[in-house]
Amino acid sequence: MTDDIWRFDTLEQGAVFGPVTVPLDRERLTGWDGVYGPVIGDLAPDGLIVAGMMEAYIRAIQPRPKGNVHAGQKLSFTGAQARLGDSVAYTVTVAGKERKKGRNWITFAIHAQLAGTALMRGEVTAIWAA
Amino acid sequence: MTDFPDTIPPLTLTTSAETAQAYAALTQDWNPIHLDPEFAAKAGFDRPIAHGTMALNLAIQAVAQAEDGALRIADLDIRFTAPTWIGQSLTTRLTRTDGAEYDLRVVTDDGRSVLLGRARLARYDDAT
Repeated sequence: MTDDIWRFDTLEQGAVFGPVTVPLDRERLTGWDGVYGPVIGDLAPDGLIVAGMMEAYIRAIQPRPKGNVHAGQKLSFTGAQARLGDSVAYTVTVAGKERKKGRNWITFAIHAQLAGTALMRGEVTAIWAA
Repeated sequence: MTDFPDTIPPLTLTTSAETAQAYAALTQDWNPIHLDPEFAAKAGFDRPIAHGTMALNLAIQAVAQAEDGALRIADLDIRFTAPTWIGQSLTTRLTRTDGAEYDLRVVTDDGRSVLLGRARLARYDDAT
C-alpha cells in the first residue's frame, strides 16, 4: 500500500495513521515567528499545535494525490498547553467518507497528545482529489 | 457567569512570499501551489495561494492576544470559503453572538471572506 497513492477508495473508514511526532523545535518556531511574530515565554501558542496538526496530517498519509482541498476544520482544545521544545504526538483517523455531487468528501479526526495528555482534537474536512 | 467582550480586536497579516515560506517551514507543507508562481499559473491561479490554516491561526492568535492573553479558543467550527492570494492582507473578525459564542470570519483587503464559522472562547482560569 505504501507504494500506491492513498485514494478515496483505499482510505477505509476507521483506518488509523500515526502517531506522527512533531517537535516544537527551532525550525517550527522560526516559521511561526516569520508569520505571527515572536513567542513570548516558553508556552507554545495553540496555533503551533494547529500547525503541527497540519504537518502530521500531511506526513501521516503519503503518498497522496495532488489537488486535495482543505474545505473545513473543527478544533477543540482541552486547555492543556505544551512548551517550546516539547514533542507532540498526533494520530489521524479516517472518521467519515461520503461521495457527494461527484466529489470525494473525507473527514479525518486528528488527536494531539503530549506525553499521554490530550491537547487538542481536530476534524479536517477534505475533498480528496482521486 | 464569565463575561466576554463583544468583539475581539482584529488582527491583520499581510501575506507575502516570505510569510508563505515561513508557514511552509512551520507546517512542513511545501506544496508549490503556495510558493511557486509558475506552478500556481499552471494550476489555473493568477498567483500562489496562502495555506488555509494561515488564516485560521491568525484568528487563534487574535484571541490569544486579546485581554493580555487571558482568553483562548475552546472550540471552533469553520469552513474555508475562498483562496487568499499571496500579497493580500487578512484581517480577523470575531463578534460575540451569545455567551462565549462568537461569529468568526477572516476577510481579505478586497472584502472577501476566506474563512467563516463560529468559535467558543474560554478563559485560562476557567474549567472547560
